[in-house]
Amino acid sequence: MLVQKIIIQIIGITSISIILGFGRYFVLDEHYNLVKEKRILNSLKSGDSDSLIDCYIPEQLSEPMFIDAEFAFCLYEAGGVIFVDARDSEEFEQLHIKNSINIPYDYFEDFMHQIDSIDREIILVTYCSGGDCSLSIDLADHLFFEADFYKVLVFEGGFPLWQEKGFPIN
Amino acid sequence: MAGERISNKLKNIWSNPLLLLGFRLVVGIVFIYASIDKISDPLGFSDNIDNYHATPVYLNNLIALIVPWMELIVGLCLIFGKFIQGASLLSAVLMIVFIVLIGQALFRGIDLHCGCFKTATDVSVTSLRSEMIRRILEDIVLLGMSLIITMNALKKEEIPLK
Repeated sequence: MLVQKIIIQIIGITSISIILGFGRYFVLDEHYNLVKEKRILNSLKSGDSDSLIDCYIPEQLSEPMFIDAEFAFCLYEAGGVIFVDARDSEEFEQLHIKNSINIPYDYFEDFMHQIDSIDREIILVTYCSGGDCSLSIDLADHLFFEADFYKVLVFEGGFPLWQEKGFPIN
Repeated sequence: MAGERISNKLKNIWSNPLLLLGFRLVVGIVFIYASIDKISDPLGFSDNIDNYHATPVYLNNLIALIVPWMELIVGLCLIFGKFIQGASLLSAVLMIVFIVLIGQALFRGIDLHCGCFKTATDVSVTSLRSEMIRRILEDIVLLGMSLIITMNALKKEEIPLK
């Protein structure tokens, strides 16, 4: 009897939670898929065009794109680009790509003033800790779709790969 | 004899109505507080679940949609004393799940802030490890409270659990 009672209570609580969860989703007309898909970006690679410049970026991007370490370093050397560290301040203060700025994705709104002061023409390269770190993609999406930057790239390997390659760090 | 006396005393303390009410309020408020942010931002919560690398990514939006409501209802049931057996058992199960999730992340060296895998040295450099251990300890205390509430709720029925 008691076991039955507990099972009924648990099924009841779970059912109400499912109804409320789906109710919220449909009533608020949420714009995301119930079945999540992993966000994958297309990649720009060195030598993708006939341009003599090895890190050519198309005039129009429809979304942020991944770049590899060589492409990122080519942009770094060429100048006219800002590297944006999406990790938290603690990690940024320890070590970061030389001359990069820190906009921790989780505190994006606190940095709006700094973001607003950046020229929209400039190329932004976001990075974080590489591997499974998705902060740089999330930040790039914000910068591209909400802050209206139209040349936003994601350095996929992130800080660990930059450091491993022996590129300049602070 | 002395052992029996201590055991009886402990039983009396654990079944003290005021203490049980306190436990129910604490666990209930923690669950409700934890659920509010997640209910208002299921996508953010889904991203957080991604960071644990413990569930298939395609399930995380669904988990993020349902689990916070479960926390809210469990919290309300504990505070108002409704469906107490089921609610307290669910609260204990949820706590075990949270402890296992954070524990495996700690063991595998995952930074829950960004979902990145870190090396042992990275982890020791940041305050990440101590933060995760603190969260596990908090959850263990809450699990203890949930189990005491559950045991008392089952005992009150005066029907053996068979």
